[in-house]
Amino acid sequence: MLQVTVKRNQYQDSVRLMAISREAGSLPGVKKVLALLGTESNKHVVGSLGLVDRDVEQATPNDLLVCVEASDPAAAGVALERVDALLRKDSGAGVGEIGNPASVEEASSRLAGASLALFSVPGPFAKLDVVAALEQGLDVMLFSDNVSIEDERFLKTLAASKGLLLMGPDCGTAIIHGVALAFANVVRRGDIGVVGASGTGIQEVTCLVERMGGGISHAIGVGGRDLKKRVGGIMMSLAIQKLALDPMTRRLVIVSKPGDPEVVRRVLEEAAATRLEVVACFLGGAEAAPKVPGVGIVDSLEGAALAVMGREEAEHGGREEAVSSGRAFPPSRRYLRGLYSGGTLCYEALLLAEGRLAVESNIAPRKDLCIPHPARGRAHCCVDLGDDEFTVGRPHPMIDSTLRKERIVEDVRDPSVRVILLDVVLGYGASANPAGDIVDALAEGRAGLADDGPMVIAHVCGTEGDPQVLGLQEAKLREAGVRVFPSNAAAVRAALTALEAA
Amino acid sequence: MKGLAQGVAVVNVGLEGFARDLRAQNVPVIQVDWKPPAGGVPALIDRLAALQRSEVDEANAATVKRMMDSRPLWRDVERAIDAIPGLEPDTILHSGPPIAFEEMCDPQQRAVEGAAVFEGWVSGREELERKLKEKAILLRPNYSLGSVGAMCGVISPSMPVVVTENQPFGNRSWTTFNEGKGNVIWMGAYDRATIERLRWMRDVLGPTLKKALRFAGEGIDIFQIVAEGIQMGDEVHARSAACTLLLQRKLTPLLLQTDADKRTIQDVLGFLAGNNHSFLSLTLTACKVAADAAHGIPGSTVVTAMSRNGVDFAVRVGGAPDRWFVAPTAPMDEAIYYSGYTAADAAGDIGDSAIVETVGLGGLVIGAAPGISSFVGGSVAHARKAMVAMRAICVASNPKFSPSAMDFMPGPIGIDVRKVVRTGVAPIIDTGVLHKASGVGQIGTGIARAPIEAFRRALLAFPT
Repeated sequence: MLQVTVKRNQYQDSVRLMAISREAGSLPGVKKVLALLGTESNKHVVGSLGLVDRDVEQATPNDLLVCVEASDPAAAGVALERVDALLRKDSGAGVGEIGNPASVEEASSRLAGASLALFSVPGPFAKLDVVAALEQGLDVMLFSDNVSIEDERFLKTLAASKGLLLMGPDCGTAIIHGVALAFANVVRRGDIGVVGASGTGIQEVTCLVERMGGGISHAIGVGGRDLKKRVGGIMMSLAIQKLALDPMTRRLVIVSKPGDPEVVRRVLEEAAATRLEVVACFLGGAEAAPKVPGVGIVDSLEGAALAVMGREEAEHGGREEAVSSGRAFPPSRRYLRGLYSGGTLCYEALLLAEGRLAVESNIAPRKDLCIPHPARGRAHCCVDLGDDEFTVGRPHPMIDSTLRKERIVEDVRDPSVRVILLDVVLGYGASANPAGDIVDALAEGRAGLADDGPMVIAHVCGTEGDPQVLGLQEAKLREAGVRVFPSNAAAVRAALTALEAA
Repeated sequence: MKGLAQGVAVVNVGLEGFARDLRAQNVPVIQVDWKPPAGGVPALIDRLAALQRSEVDEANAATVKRMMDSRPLWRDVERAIDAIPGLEPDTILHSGPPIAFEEMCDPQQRAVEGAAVFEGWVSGREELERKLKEKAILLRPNYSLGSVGAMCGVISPSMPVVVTENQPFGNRSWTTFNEGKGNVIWMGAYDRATIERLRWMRDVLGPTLKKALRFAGEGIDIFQIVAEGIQMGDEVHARSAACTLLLQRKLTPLLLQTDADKRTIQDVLGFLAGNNHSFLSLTLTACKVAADAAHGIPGSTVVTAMSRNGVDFAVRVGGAPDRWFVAPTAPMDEAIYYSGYTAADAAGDIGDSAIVETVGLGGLVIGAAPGISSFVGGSVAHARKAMVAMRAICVASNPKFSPSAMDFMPGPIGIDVRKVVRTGVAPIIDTGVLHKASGVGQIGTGIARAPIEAFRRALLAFPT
């Protein structure tokens, strides 16, 4: 059936009427809906359908003609109701309501006081948007990995020319004005500034400073390659200068692996020339580091925290290092298995073991101790489970502990293992209950074992202010019989002591 | 050397968990809907990186400044042959990039035929094809001579054309008067009445308006009317009703000062007032002179023309003089169709009128015309979102065209080839839709999205 209805004084925009016609015409049982204004040409259209009546003839361009072709009167009625409903319909969202911006520029113009852009998109694609952010005058934190060293140099040079920070790449930690960015802890504010190459290195130093009663002004992660010759310490220099201008900062900790000697010398000289009290930690390279007057050089993360806090030794919990296992291990249980989520903590462990124990690793400083992926050592072994080969297509172990849980179960059941050494990294970015995951894995591994398996030693890198709460995570581990130490270095020393015991 | 930023407010690009963590610390944060730039194509990314330079930004700013400094005045009416330098008496101009008659879409062929009939050169298709073959009739794109044409865009030598001059720069452009709806050659449809109307336009409309303009002083300021119309519901491409009325207000006293008889004035005013698109002709020439004045600044990556013929789409870039970058024209799959028609019936996107978007009007200020918000989703919020998306591919915004309906958000202006390729966001072009074969003319209306491929080609060929 075909019918026409005339609605007087219902002027509508013609495009809107077309959209309404289309929608009402898609109802079941409705062949066609044509909502038109009563112009002469439209009346001809209606006439050509054989629908002219007196009402249609008398319609003016201010009147609405609704033609409906439908299978039956009920369907036609539904279509007419729909047209009415659509004409009344509020088109929905208010003018101000818009979705997320599609570009960095748009985002920066919409966010009042925008100061920093945080990138965690694939490195090869990040470059253009990073430049856009710098052009907008934003500091950049480039968490992305797989950024080529050429791009790193280019981006850092550009950032430095604008006086902006380019943190990273491949370094996921920063604390700016007390705000934890990406993987960082909630630490007390204070007068110690940190500039570091690695994420977990900064996390450990900042958390240790908090444990020792100090506080952090800002912590800036500049990426692991910054002190290499091709990058030339661009960001290390800039970050130091910025911290020197910061009224809150009085002391400075530099954390890095050793870099190019000339670059390191220049950076240290620049640091020494500021008003700041400077401690530099070169993991595995303290002896070779250039001697610059006024700069204290240390070789461990713990050492950096101690030095900047003016402490001589690890007085915090030092006594626990004399580990008494409480039970004797048979000689067959003799190996160390370190299962790390934090690469720098793993590296620190390997350095501390040097000269005492030959520990294999996927990131061993000594070539002869390097073992290939998946780094299952037969003897003493420390694995960085966050290394690139483990994170292809899989979340980092600090976010998701599935992989580490598997390795814990394996090593708990391995009758040749005496000590399992673990790090537990808390803070924003890290998983919600890492200690709980470890406890679960230990329970699974120990099930059915006659002797409860190896001794488990751990350090929790975190603070009471972290979302996971340091005290709660440590308590969980202790309940499961894990020996918990206040620093990674202390945990490593305890493990070495336990292994050296007859 | 400046110290650390005073506060922390974060633009987050990537993992949304980081944004959540920052919100938990009461840090202001905005999440970007990120996708790989330039579709993740390494050659394009490298080229974009090479062009990410301040010299390019400066050239682009200079380009847009010329667009915004332009002051197009409607000065005169003349026959095309007298007005357009280089137009030969045997030539018909058409919209879009160069194309042979056989390759043209059906409606453009019909429009050429209508113009040839109107000129008295042929009586029908067969004769037209023969004369084209013998080169007794030649075809040229408007853009080769600086003229501009809506939809099929056909201009033949004896048609009267609007003469618009860009006052500060002195350059000119021309187009025909808009014929309105129904069987009209701009929509690729004609019959006897169409030809008669074209004759009346040539013999009465053109000469009468020419007389009227003698009383208009320096001419009629087109962008002044556009600025007003933008506040009254026009985006000046699909909607020009307000501007047409504002023009009428200026023209009426001018016409009354001429020696034209009452009946003629009535016919002329009736013709102009009876067609909401009457003003579009002025808009096209105004945008064309503004874009041409901005063209040719070395290093500029700003688009200075977009032009389609129903088969191909061509884009011109400020820093690449004498080159057009061509790709297949956009399909009309997002348009709204008259009852009984679908996208399958449509010819491809057509017309030189995308010059309107080139200068930051039309689709770029679609929110100015809430009535056509259905083009982009149906609500004012959708229109605003569309404008925000356009802002992301432009180098500047133009406070002169700030629609009140959008809380006076300034219209984006200066489409940057780099940004189009990087974001994959295509300029929105407001347009009509023509039937691809039947000769019924217009079958719908809506938006076309300019084909990104043309912009990619421009970028790859761009001198670095």
